[in-house]
Amino acid sequence: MIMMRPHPVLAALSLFASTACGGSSNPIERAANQMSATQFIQPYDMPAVTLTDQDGEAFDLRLDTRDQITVLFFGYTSCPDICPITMASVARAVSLLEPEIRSHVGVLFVSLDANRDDPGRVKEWLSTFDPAFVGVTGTQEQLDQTLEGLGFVMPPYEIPAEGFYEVPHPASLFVFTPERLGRFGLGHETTPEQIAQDLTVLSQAWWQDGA
Amino acid sequence: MARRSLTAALLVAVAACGDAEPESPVGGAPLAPRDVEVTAARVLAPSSPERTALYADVANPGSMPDTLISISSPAAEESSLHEMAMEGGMMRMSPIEYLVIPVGSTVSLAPGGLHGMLDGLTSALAVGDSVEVTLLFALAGSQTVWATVQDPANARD
Repeated sequence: MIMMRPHPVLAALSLFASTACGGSSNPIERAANQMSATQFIQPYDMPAVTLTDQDGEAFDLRLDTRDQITVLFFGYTSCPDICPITMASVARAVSLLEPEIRSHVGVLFVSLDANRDDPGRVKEWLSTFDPAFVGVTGTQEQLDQTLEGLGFVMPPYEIPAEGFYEVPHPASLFVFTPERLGRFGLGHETTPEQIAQDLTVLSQAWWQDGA
Repeated sequence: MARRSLTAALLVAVAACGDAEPESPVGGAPLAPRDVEVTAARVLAPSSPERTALYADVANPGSMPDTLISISSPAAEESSLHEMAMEGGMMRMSPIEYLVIPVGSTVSLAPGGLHGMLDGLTSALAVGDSVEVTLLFALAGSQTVWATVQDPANARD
């Protein structure tokens, strides 16, 4: 049984009220003040789910994202609009990072299209953005579990016998700190420069200011 | 003026139903002023070989609302219009049959919102290429423009 958390947007709104009242000596909080990302009032645990990466290897979401800042995006490779634009923005953002900051950041694409996407397809798609990105997918049950861990419920959608169909997906990027806590959300419209700035500030806060 | 525009609209309606008529009842005269302006047309460099998105700004400086009925392109087997909506924090995409362009306004097909979808791409599209796209309006008729193929990272610029 998974307890549903308050929705990220609502949580962010309540947080806005709380941060407006005063500063904090915590490096994460100080970083948050310099970031364009929305900070979640209650961080999300990285879901304890093992998916399959673009090379067909098992990818343990919790174990394999330790020691890094993880930028997670849910989408599907047939998506014509938001997914490629967001991944291209993240790729541009990563290319703007100083090498040391870059070495602390991992980008994780989770395909929610259990029907059409397989490791080979995910690998080919990711290669158009940055081959260093990790792309994972899994069974519908595993994907539902991953989504639910981050406060989302997959709505029903139709899979026609032929032709294009959409797969609903969250439109935000999630940013996890190395202890596997999803602390920040970035809207899909965030510019590469803003994403790079946020990742730099957060990375410096974590590794230099001793978060 | 308003009456003339209304007459034009009626003529369009009549013409649309009059496929059996060998001759146009109004000869070569334009049925309606071509008031709709399509600018900033662009398609994303496709990241999957099957399909990509089309964006453009559609302005209607005229005196009658117009309706975008369809899009088409020699670069794609099938083209359609879609809208995006958030539902429970999830992005949903659904096809729309038509898109009204109100008088005096500009409707943008843009990332994360209304967009065209080119499906079944007939050739590889590289950044900097141009693609012919035809937008069919109820009043303004066909407007063919060149859409630039754009790097998805620059889609919001």
